[in-house]
Amino acid sequence: MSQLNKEIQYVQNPAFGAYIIWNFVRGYYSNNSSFVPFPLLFVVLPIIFREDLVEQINGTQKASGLRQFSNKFLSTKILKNDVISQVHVSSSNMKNLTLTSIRVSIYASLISLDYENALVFPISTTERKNEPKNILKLGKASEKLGYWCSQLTLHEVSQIMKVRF
Amino acid sequence: MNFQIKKLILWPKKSDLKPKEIEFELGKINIITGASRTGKSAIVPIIDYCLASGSCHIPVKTIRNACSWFGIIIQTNDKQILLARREPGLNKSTDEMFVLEGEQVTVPPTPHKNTTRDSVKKYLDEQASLSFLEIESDTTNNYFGRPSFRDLMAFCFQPQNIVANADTLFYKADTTDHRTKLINIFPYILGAVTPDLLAKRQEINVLLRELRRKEKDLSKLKDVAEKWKIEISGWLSAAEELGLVEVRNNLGVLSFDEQLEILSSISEKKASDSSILNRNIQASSREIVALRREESEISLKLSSFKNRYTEMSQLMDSIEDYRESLTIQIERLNISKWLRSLTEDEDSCPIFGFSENHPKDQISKFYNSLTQLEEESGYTNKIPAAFEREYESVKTEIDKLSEQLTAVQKRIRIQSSIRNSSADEKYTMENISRFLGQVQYASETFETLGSDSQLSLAIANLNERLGVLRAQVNENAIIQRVKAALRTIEGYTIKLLPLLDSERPNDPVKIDYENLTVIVTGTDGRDDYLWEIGSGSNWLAYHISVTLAFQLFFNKQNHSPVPNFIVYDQPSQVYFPQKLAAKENEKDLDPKLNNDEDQIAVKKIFKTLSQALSDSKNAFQVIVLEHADKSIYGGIEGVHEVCEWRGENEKLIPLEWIN
Repeated sequence: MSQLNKEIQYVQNPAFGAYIIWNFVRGYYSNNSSFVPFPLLFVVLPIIFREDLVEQINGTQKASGLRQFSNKFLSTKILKNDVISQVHVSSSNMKNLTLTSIRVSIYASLISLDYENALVFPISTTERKNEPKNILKLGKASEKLGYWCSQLTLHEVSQIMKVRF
Repeated sequence: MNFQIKKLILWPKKSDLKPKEIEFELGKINIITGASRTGKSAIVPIIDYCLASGSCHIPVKTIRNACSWFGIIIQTNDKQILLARREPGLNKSTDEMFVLEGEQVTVPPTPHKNTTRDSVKKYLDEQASLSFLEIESDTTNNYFGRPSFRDLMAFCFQPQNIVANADTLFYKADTTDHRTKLINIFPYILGAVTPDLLAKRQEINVLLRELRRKEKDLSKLKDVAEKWKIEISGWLSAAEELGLVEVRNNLGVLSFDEQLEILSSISEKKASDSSILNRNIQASSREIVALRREESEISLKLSSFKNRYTEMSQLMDSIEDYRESLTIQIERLNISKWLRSLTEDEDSCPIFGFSENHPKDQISKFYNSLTQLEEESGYTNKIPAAFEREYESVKTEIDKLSEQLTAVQKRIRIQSSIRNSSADEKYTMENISRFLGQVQYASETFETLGSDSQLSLAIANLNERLGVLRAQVNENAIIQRVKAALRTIEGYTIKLLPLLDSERPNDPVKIDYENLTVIVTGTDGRDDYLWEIGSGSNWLAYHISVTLAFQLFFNKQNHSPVPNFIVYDQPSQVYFPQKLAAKENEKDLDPKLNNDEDQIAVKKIFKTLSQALSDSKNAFQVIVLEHADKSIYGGIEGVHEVCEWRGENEKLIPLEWIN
């Protein structure tokens, strides 16, 4: 394995992915105990694994919501509208990683699947605070993202993030 | 752009009452008829307010006292959008807005703030696939800013004070701000300036700026050429290390000329002049470490920009195919199909692979729900994409960073070439002599930089690229395209004009977009501006025919950002008897058309609307707010009477909302 591949493995691995996805589901659930539509999980990693997107999530108030977040990329200050358009492509590229991450988080009893309705819910909702700072930061971002998505229908998320399920 | 009004919604202040909905039909002439003071004219400001207008023009008192939120539902090609905005109370307007979208949206009992006016504006810009590039990119003048959705409202409303106005043809074009902006973006709206051209204009400006900088470099290297500066200070540091000059910590402060002077003084030295000192070597090691760090930082940044550039280029490639509409076509993710393809048979679980704990029917239920979820999310294969600005800025950034990187690397090379020239003989006399030779060569190079250098090559390249771009952005061709578009619109106007009641139905009409008005050419050859022509009925005829002609033109374009609806508020007003003469107690009465000629003239208005609509194959929507009733427009094709506000409690605001 080349050095770069190793680096990527350190960050974008299924165990870490599982942690991120669990945080997303937790955040989603925290709003009225709602369950996550299964396809939605596939946009989480492409967003959280991008530094510039996470930076904006952290810089956006929780109360502002997903629209406000995505609108930021249209502003002249940030000038990164293309990054949003990229989410769909990366979702497609990261399908496998997402699926393995989902498996890991189910094995680890972090989340569970309502098979009949294709919805996902968290088993544990206690926030973990003992991880290294950088990891916690990404977890937090994922949780916020989950909360934002819970306020919108799948259709709306798809329009705002320009992802077609 | 397909963007029509499906519903108008008012939410009462009294929370126990239901919201009032007024439903419109798409692609028809929707008429709200009624007596005076029933709230007809409030429709225009309500729609405008919900489309994120800057200030609220909804009449105060009754309407604003009774309603808590105003809303509209917009129908586009593939979805409905509900936009609602809170009644501003004592303020001029409010930022609190509510947006909901979906294939079908249901009206909520009460909206709540989930977005702001600014976000809605951006959202509408994006829905209309408007370019984010400025019309004139090298100016900070707001009048030349990027076209925005709000500017397009000029084509969608003809309120009472405009519909038969001799001085202004378009909505909100009465203030300098709107007027100037509208005139400037006209070529864009007419499709004569494409986003592609805007991007090229932007590139020309970026290149021009760079060219200017490079030319300055060439004439005055000492100020600008960072690259040479870094290189020369590399030589100087190496000389310090070898003890040929004294260590001075202010290399960066010296001007290029001063550094050059030191360098040439070094080149005259002999190897025996060197005095290697411990501290010189230490300083140089520290410098190498710092340089290495700088190098890796720049290269990290550069590679992340490069990645983004590659990703963008792929997206831009797909935009190329849909240039005019600024969209990208994408395949759906299709998670359900993909999961199915992963497992060999229908029975095994897509997530765990085995089926013992997951009976077959459970799995098939899972797939069903999954497919259903995917369907719920709606589907369009095109998504809006406008990021030419970003593309340009990343390109510039990459150029800048690569230049920096080369400079730093060169300096590292100079310093480490001395370092690595086999460790044991590094500080020998022989090696120092060799170094001096190199310095001599370098200082000569620096001195001849002006005449033949990489810089002048770069300048030549820039000039060449500029030439190519300038040829592509042919401003003359743009003017020609604007003219062609205007001729088409004039063609539509002239066809509609004879249907209306005007004095000069057959005189050719020219649209003068730089003055936002029309010019009528008489048989005597004189050009008459709209404001030079008399009579309200003439003004009305030009207003109606021109605004319809614009809609017909937008409809014919592949992609027009302008919404395809238009609201006329009392077009027939010029034919109704003056109310001033009426007795005090009759002022509130519904005026009647008592003259046969006037009745025919008003009928003509509706017939013209109907004709324009059928010419476009019902591709746009007209909303008319009128005193005239069924006796006038009955039987005309394409007419849909939305409601009649006459008699007891038939008004925009029901009585029970107030009392």
